[in-house]
Amino acid sequence: MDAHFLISLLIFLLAAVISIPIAHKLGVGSVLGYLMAGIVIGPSCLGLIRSVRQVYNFSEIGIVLFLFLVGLELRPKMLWTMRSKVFWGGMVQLGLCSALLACFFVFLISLGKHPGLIAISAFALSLSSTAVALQILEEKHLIKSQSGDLAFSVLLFQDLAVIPILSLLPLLVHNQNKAFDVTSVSWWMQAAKILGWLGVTIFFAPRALRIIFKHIVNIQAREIFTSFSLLFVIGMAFVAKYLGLSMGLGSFLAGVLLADSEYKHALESNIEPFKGLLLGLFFISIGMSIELGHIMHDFSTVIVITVVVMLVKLLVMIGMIRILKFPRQQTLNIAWCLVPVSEFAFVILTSARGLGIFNQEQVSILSSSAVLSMVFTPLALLVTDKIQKRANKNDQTRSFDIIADNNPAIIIAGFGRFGQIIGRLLFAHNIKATVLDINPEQIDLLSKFGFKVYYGDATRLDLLEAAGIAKAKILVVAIDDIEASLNLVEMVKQTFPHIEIFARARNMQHVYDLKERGIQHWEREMFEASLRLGGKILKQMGISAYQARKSMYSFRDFNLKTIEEMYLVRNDESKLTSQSKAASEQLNKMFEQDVSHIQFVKEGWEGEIRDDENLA
Amino acid sequence: MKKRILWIFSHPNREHSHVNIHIMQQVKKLDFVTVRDLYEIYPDFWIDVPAEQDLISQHQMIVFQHPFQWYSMPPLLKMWVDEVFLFNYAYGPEGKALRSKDFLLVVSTGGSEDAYTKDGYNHFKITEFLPSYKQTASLCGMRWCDPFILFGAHHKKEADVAKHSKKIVEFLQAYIKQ
Repeated sequence: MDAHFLISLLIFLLAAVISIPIAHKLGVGSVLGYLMAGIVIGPSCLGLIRSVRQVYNFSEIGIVLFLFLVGLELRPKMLWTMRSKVFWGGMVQLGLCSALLACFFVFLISLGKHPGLIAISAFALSLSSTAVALQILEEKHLIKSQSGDLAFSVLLFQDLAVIPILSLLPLLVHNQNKAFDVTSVSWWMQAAKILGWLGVTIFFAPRALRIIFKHIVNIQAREIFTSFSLLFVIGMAFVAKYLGLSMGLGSFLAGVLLADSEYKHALESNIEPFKGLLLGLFFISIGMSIELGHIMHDFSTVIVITVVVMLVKLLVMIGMIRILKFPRQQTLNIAWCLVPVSEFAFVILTSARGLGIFNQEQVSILSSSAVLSMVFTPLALLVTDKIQKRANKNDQTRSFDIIADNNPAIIIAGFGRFGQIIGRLLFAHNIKATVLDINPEQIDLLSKFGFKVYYGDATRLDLLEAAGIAKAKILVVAIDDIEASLNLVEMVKQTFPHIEIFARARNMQHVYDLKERGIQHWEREMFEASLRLGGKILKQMGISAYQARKSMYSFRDFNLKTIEEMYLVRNDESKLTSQSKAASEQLNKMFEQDVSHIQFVKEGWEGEIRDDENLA
Repeated sequence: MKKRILWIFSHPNREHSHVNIHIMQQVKKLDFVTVRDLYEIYPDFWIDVPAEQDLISQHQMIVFQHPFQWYSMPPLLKMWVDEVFLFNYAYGPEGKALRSKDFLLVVSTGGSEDAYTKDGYNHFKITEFLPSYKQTASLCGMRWCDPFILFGAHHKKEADVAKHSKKIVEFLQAYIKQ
């Protein structure tokens, strides 16, 4: 390995590690932190890195993985139900903003007159940063409101819109060099290849992948799972590039193909660490490419562009919310959250520059405007917040429109015989539960019965987070392995103390261990079953059904009481045995008492009332 | 069509039943009687309502047999009535399932006949505790038959119980022939 490359990588990583804590301290997002770090270590500032190119190539994979995860998150079914909102809302926002910005850019001399360039700039800057938007929405608790829903639809549409644009960029370059000749054979060959690839992939891939994953998972080596996933994603990206499309399209398609698979969560948790790191490197390299020299030179241009972009996006959103007659309360907040320019803009601009559509100066200017929009928005929000608060001081009414919750209320870890009964009971009540299991054959079988089970090791925190544990109300721990269950319980109690845990206990010791970890809701897996069978045996022995039932209940009551007493002396062996003996004696006494009570009933009562008692 | 009798037997303490279990066993022998031993078939108080309603449709007389406890019926029988005699099934504008059927009450009491007098410790005649049964039957359109009451069940001798059972069986046989 090139020593130079190694040093560059070291500096990159150092920059990443330093900048993120600082960014968080300042209350700005990680993306901004990376960008700043890039600016600082890049040629325009400290000049620590000279060969941006190499590391940039390496980190481009970060984009590929990022788009894969976007595709994975897509949830085609949900998208389909929201299709009209997404299509119309997104179309209007993106269309209007792009159109208005394009008009503006036409008059901006430094961007030149090339229509492609203007269109791409307008489009790129109209996109909104999903990360920042969601952060704002969550902070202001707007995700479940109608306007929040609109914002979400717009973001979804933008996610989808980026892909065709990214894919078409290379074609734009070809267009510049030779005529866009629809009659040329090579064009048709190209189109045929693309369609062929799409057809084959969409038809065969999901099935093939499922089979392959199952085999891999059976080998039980996690690295192979990760390696294969990366192989598939990057393979798809490569094929896309070979066909003249953008790599992003390939990886996005890969993501969409896997979006509804049971391996989705496992893929997410496996790829997430890579994506985070490589994306970070990508944004640092973007930061490095922002040449401060250019900015200083065209400072007024940058500021003007930033202000115009922010205003246009803000006003378009406000307009849409007003026209749709949504509650006015949160209009400003929702509108602001879509103002910061998306990370995708950097991707598009960089790709376009790589293809020769832009030059470095133009990219620097536009990128800086994008960065500034990210920086200014939180500040602007603070200001408008204060203004609104002052205006609303007398107005106490809050009008939220709540829509159905899409997050699972319950997570079931382990879907063997134990978990399944619980799952089925919940499903019958239409209670949403996300189910995780580690056995792929089980998952196969269950999917035949119509159950949606996600593959993964439920004791991993990242998997649980991907499954939505932060917002869930209940975790059901139904896994086999006692030690794993105890580890899981400990981990969750520590990290997510709000969540109620319902645990399967495999034996008495397990019960004690669970109680030690603060678990109050537990059931022994054998107890009730044995009890019931015992009751049937009593019946068979001639005891009446009702008496047998009462005995079962008594036994259960007594047993639970005994557990509590034993728990207190669980660590004292001698006490344990004496306690155990005492318990047996008590049980006997209890049944004896029942008998004597029944004796009394047998004899009857003559209705004698003592003289000193007063009865009406 | 031959008449059939649905015999709803409820005893929460059958192990120590003096008279009721014997009566039930005699009645069970009759081929036109279907006995439903509630505490035996529904010890969990989870009643199969469609099955019960189906049975009702096949029988012309409904009989409640139980020990009189706290001047009323055992809880499982009450549950059965609450769950089976539903609106628009047993009563109400569409509730015709029990119309023109016959209803018979067969109870045993701990107190003697004397206890069930104005001066006895129960302060009321037995018939004064029966309006809720009567009205239940009436609302459902059932004809009220004269109830069979066995007083002082704890002290009854075997012979007395047998005589009482015989009376009941004869009544049932006469009913079938009508």
